[in-house]
Amino acid sequence: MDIGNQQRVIIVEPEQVASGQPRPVETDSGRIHHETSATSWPLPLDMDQEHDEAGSLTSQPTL
Amino acid sequence: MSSEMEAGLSSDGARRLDALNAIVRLYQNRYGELEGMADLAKARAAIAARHRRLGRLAEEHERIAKQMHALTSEVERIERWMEFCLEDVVARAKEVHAEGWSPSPVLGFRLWAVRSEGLFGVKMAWHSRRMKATCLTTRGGDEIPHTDGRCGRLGCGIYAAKSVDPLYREFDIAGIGDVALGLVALKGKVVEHDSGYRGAEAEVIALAASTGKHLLLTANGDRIDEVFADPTLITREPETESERHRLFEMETFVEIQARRATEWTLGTSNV
Repeated sequence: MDIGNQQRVIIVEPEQVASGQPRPVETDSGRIHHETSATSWPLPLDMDQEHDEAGSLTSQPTL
Repeated sequence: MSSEMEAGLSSDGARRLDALNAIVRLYQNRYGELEGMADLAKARAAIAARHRRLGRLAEEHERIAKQMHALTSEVERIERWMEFCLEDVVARAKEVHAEGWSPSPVLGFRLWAVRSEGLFGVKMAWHSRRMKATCLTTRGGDEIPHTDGRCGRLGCGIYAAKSVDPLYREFDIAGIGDVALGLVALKGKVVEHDSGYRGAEAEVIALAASTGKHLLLTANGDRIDEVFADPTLITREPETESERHRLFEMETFVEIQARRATEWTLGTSNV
């Protein structure tokens, strides 16, 4: 049976309703929710800061 | 605390050293210059030098402890950031691939060929109203239905069409003989295609099945299971006028059941 090209994945999980998920939106085939991408958080510190093998910082840590 | 105690002597040892030092001072006062004082001076100098070194090491120890504490805090903060990154990767993947989730099953339509020994889909016989998909190509059990092309363009999963008409056309329903048309509720991972779905799990929630002129229409779960277990039960149902009439009734029945299921799911009512 040829059902055409693949469009998208829908995860059907009734228990998610009770776990605080956002309300799903309605579509032709029922209620389907699309996740929105999270907003970017600022980098918490300079993660590129290098450390030598002994673990000491090559420069002072950002505190 | 005496210097001897700091250097590691026991309190008894330190008391003995203090007592001996006091006696030496007494004898210096009594007799002036004493023999062996050079060695005593060397020992005192050696102890003092080591105390200075111990002091420097204590400072270094404190500095290292502070640095370890700072690094531990940074690791904790980076781990929190990493947790966000992991969630963000998943969220972006869902958005890029337009993934959605639904609290209610996705509905579709299926056909089975009715034989006395069972109801047969394209790939295999169904023996109850419920079916869980396996991948017949990879034999793997993860992430079914596959969506990465490993088992072909259409791939594995339980197939269901979005509407009945294409099913009737593609399978030449008039020439197929005894046939069953079902409304299935797909659950778990469901892959939407242009005109149908592939699901990980399916449950038949309405069944219209014919054998000869007999036609069975039911939306009762137990009754559906009975028919899947013994298709000859269909012959106990009333006869219909013609094949064309039969196929029309089957289509109408499952479509009505689909509308009812959707209305119920969406919380609307005709009452």
